[in-house]
Amino acid sequence: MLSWEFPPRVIGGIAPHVHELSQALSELNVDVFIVTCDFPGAKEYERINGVEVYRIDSYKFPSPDFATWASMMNVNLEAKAAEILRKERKRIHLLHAHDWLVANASVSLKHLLRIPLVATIHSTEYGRRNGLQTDYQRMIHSFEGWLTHEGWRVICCSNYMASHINYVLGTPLANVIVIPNGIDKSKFERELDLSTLRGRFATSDEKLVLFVGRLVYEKGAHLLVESIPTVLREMNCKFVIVGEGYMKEQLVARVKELGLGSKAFVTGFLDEQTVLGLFRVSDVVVIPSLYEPFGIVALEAMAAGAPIITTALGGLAEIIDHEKTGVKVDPNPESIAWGIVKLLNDRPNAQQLAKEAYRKVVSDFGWQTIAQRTREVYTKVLREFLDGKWKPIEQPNV
Amino acid sequence: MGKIAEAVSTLASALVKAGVLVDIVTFHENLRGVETAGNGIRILRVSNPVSPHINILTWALNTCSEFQRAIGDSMYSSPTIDLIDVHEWHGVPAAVAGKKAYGLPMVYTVYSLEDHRSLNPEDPLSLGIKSIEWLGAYEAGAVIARSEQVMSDLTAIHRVPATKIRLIEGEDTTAMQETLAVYREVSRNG
Repeated sequence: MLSWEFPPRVIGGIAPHVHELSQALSELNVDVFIVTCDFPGAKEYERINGVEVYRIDSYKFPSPDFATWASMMNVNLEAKAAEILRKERKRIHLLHAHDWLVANASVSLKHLLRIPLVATIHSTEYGRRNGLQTDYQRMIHSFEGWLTHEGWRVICCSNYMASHINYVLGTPLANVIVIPNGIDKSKFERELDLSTLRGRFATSDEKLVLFVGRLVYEKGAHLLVESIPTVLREMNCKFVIVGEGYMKEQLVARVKELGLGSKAFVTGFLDEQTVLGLFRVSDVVVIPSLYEPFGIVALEAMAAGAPIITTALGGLAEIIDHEKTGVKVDPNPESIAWGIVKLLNDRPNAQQLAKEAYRKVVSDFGWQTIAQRTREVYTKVLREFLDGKWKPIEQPNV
Repeated sequence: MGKIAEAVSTLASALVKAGVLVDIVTFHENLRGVETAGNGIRILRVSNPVSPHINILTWALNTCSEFQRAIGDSMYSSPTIDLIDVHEWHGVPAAVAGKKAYGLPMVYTVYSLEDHRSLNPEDPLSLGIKSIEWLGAYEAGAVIARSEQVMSDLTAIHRVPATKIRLIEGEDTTAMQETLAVYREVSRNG
């Protein structure tokens, strides 16, 4: 597997995904080698429960921009992966690339050694930017298209994403396989002083409304902020908005402007334990996303047993069933306020929804299920590869 | 684009005359595929799969992916590659990957350095190119400098040990024989 992030280097959702998936695959007796970027204090090589992790020098000189850095990083990533492949060729039968950031290295190795490539597209530039406005964005978009074109199969996390990459990247649907993201529910079962934690954010007579996510336009935190005055007219609540992003200052300013200083906290980055605890003590979790390939935050709320209100756009629509596992609202402040008030006023219903959501997360989104399905994809690809005309230079022992 | 095309063509022809099989992996905007020239040189042309690019680095490093497709196809059809000689920095990542993946010896031929070409060799783009130059010199079994200036600057700028650098100027038969001697030496040393 090639991934530009892997714990402890956690930038977005790819790192936890690759970590959990690799661990679960290893439990299914799949040999997993991960080549990823370095991180201060992290070992150059380590074995984590059977998964072999190699960390490369990720290029530390100044770069003109992020995409150029990614190209430079890929040079080192590929050199290391080529070295590992030479050493472990009998044990490595396919490559798995996570997103365009490792496209150069992955596609190169595929052809250099004639190894089939599986690509996971976690999100698209088109979706992240709401269209393509600059050559920089068009280049990343083109890298994504190239990677999906080179992938024997392309994995994405939702039917919404499958149809999206078919539409924007031209990837044939026949090559796309939907495997959802997963969640490790045991993270939400750890012993924690929840009452003290809750007390840090809200008084006992205040309901706690939680948002967790990057503070960028597509996550819709600005819609939640605009909904707060309407909710406060009916309920005594505390709104906790957790995350970092380019909209943070704007959100803080808007909270102040609306006179909500004592009722809404824009906390910035919080450590993992605190965030996991907040999910557990929240009275409602709001996911007001405008673009969401999947919506891992929904799984986190479900695993924590928190009732969910969501705009249900993109992949979220496939996770949350209205009035069964959550409440769907429209992406505007009035509708979001309606949803919050509705759930806070009807606690038995909110608890029932949370209970159903928990059942669903356990049955559909466990990492073992996801790893099993990923392994099926690997097997299918290998079978097609070995039966096909595009042959390996050196026959692996499969 | 510059003098490299002619230099590589002349060298390849001379090598073929000396009984060496030569595959040239190179770039062309639209002429993709394999061509066998009259003198027996196999030319594998690739184009860039991504468009647009924002700078020469993203373009070159992405083109290297296609270079590797050509190397892989060549290895598959007749696994007779004994050595890679990469001319200038643009193809260095492909050559390094070929070296690492197949254990092939590698020679790096340098015509000029980024410090000679760039008006601001310390800007981030030039630093990237210089990093690739350094990588090529570090991974190569020998570095062929095509001028005295390049030879002295390889040591001054990239700290390449003088013992690793061979000065080969010109494109006559002597230059070809000197190049072939470098190939033999690097192959022998692994």
